[in-house]
Amino acid sequence: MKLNFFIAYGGKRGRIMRALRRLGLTWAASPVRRIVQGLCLAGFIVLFFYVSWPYGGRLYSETLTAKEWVNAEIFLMMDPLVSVSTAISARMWVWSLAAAGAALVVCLVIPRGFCGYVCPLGTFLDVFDWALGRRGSRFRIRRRTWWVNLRYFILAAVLISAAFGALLSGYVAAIVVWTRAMLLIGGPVQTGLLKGWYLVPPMNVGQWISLALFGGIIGMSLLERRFWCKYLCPTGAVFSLGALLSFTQRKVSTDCVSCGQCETVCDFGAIREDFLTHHSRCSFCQNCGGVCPVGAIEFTDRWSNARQKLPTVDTAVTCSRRSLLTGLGTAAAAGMGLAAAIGTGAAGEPAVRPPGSVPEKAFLQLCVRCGQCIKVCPNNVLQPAGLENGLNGLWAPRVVADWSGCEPSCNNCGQVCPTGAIRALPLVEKQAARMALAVVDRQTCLPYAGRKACQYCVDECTAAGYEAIEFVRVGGQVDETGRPVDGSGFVAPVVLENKCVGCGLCQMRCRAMNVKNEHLLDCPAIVIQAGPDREDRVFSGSYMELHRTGQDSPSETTDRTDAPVDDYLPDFLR
Amino acid sequence: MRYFSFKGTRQFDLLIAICCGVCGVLSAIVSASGSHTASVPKRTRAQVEAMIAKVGESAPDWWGPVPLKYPDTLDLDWPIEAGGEWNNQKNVGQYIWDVINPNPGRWKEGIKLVHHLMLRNKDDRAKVARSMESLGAMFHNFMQDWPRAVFWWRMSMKYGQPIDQVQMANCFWRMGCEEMARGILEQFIDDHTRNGAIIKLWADMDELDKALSLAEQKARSGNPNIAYLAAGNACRQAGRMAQALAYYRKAVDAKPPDENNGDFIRARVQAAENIAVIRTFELLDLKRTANGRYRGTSTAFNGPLTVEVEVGAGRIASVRVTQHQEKQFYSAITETPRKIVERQSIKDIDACTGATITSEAIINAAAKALAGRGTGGE
Repeated sequence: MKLNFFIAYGGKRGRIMRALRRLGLTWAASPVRRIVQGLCLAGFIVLFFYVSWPYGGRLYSETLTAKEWVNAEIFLMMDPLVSVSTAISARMWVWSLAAAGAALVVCLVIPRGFCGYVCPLGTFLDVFDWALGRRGSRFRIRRRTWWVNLRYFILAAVLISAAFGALLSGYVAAIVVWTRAMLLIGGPVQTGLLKGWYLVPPMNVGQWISLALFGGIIGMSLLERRFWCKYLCPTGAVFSLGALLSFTQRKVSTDCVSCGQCETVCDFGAIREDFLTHHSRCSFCQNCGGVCPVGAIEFTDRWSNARQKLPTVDTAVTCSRRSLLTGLGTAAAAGMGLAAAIGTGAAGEPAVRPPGSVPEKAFLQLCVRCGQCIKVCPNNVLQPAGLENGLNGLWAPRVVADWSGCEPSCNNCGQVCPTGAIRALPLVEKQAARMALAVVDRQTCLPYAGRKACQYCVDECTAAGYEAIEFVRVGGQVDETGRPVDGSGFVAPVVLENKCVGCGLCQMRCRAMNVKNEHLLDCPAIVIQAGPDREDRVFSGSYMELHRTGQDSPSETTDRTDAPVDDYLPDFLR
Repeated sequence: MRYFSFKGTRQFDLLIAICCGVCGVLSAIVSASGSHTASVPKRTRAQVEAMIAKVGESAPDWWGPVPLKYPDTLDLDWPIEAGGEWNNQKNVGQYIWDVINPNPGRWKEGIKLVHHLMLRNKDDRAKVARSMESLGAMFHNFMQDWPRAVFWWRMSMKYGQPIDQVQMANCFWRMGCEEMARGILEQFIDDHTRNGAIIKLWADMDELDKALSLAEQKARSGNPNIAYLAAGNACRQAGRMAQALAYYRKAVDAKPPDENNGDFIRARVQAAENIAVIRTFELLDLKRTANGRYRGTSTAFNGPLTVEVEVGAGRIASVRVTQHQEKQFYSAITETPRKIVERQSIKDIDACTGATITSEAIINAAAKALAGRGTGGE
């Protein structure tokens, strides 16, 4: 069985070949790979910037559903580290494990093909290298030392810390880092250009950390082509482990003249000194096959042994037992240490999470911090956290009601969450899921303080359809007979705890009008607060059912037994 | 004479105050366009009486599903005079005033509560009478349920409770029997009501002359702001805009007899707002508007919103939102200006679904711009 996608060197020189040749050596050598890479990067961009752009329709949920012919988060689903690490840390089945499993099955045929063909971060690094990296040789290094197998140890550290309940994959999983970078770089630009720059929320320290991380990954490519992919990427390491089982391999025949062309074009450092293959590194990009002047390279099933070149260098053990043990020991220590460090982060005010988020502990173990929910959130209600809740909460989505409130016609965040940290709820369920509770500050609220008639929060809540804030008359005067003076006092807001879902629209309006616009207050007088009894955080079941019992606040009993049922006009009145 | 019976706990003007206070110009548009009665079938006295008897005795169709609901702390004995400190969780009247009245969502449960207390305290005739009067007022003010209002008011009268006859007349008019309404109204030689209810009802019945003469009389008797406002409303309803403006002007200019009386102050504010509305919406004549760009500002969802209207050759050439801070409802920013240009008018523009506040702010700002009251108009 042969699986050669490359175009053999020195073949016919047609017009197409000449055009490919002009694009670059690797385009001519293995055009299929470059085309697939281009399509995958374009696919990511379409899914992230077109499908995940929630505006344009009447209902935000419909707008996303109508465009989402394939899951907007499909690349995140395919990153096996996303689902494996979250499943281990939360000790739960994560639905995207299935998609990651499928990606690994593909590896049986095209080992590490994800890295060579699909990964948008890898493709972007190729583009970067083509545009900038290869032009300056100042930073290039030829050395390969202790970092050669570092990615396996990073993977080990991530999985060990996951076993101790702390999730680190948000820092290193390829698609997560890439998605969040696109969110933080492309998101504001898209919003700014298409809607207005004033709609771009300010950056926080967490976002700078994330951008620095991404910048570091890009910067490393100056040292060596795809430095990140070759030596550091733990997602790639998972695929490399998968490649151990693959049915197919790169094979070199005895025709090999040891010219070294293959080593020059290999992106993944998969060519051994004797020009045979490091199978765990080979991504099947097949550049080498296309540049080999004697056609000595083939991609076939692993059991075919016809005219095999024999190894001349003993590189069977690329990693000594000692360094393996040291590495694993360090990884374990690092994993446990980081897990402990993250766990003891500053607590702070509990953050308000997206509607349908699972209980907080599990949420932080399941949320891989990709930012996909933040991208599909209209009006930037969800924003990546900084260090308010310590390292443990870094980049997790939080509701920033000072900026905007959660739209009743939107359930997008749960629909795109790749791990189920936010449940994919139908719209009606989302509208019943409490994420917080609005609390009125009676010291500052304008009517309570006797300063001014104001009903922004009530209007907002009513317009949103929740009707969870009602009026009570306050500060009314009574005349000498004890009767209220008409028109005295104000009507002030009262939050109905059994109806408020904590969407934050009230807070946004109070801040926009009374704080920013009219400068009457220093901070909004109605604020949503998370915490026990204020939010519904459950793994399964219906939020509507949850609220069917206990419809009324405790001080207001209904269905009084002393009430006559049908006696509208009893006999004594007739 | 059975005149207006003032009992603080039964005054529901609060509701009106809520509606008018905030939206200002907008609510004025709504109330002006909605005030003229939709065509009601004419009914004879006998038909109306039959209706009151039949409907009045039966429970409204929403009665069953609405739960009986009230705070556990409420004093269900509902004494005629509430003693002690103001406490809206204990005293029924104060509970209705503070909690039921301001919340339309609680109106039905409020009616149910008062009905419940009527039956509960059935051995005390005074309490039963008061409950009935309250039921009538609530059916009238909350539900516009005219037959049930009359039914309970009449029951209450049988129990010796004084009743607001003007509101009774209003019920008869709304039910389609002008004769019965006139029968009551003609007994009044002057308008003694707080807000000119008799003047308004005559105007509703297309008796503008009667309405205006009562208004002049009320103004002379020391109530100028309220009387002229009512007169202005009457004229406006009859389509006499110039006359309406003159009356509103008088209502604004007249010195209130009592600076501390909220009714007088509110009447002046309302009159001023009505002047603005008429100028902007009803007297706008594009043909007499000079070519040019006009700017107007209004408060929208997240703060001020500025609109620039370009007028050329008697047409609205373009409407542009030049400055805004809206976040939530983006579609209105382009939709509403398009509709204004399409219709060549700022009247009767539908607000964009889900973007009502922004849409209305754009309409208002455009109206202000065209009325020449905009900021920085050229």
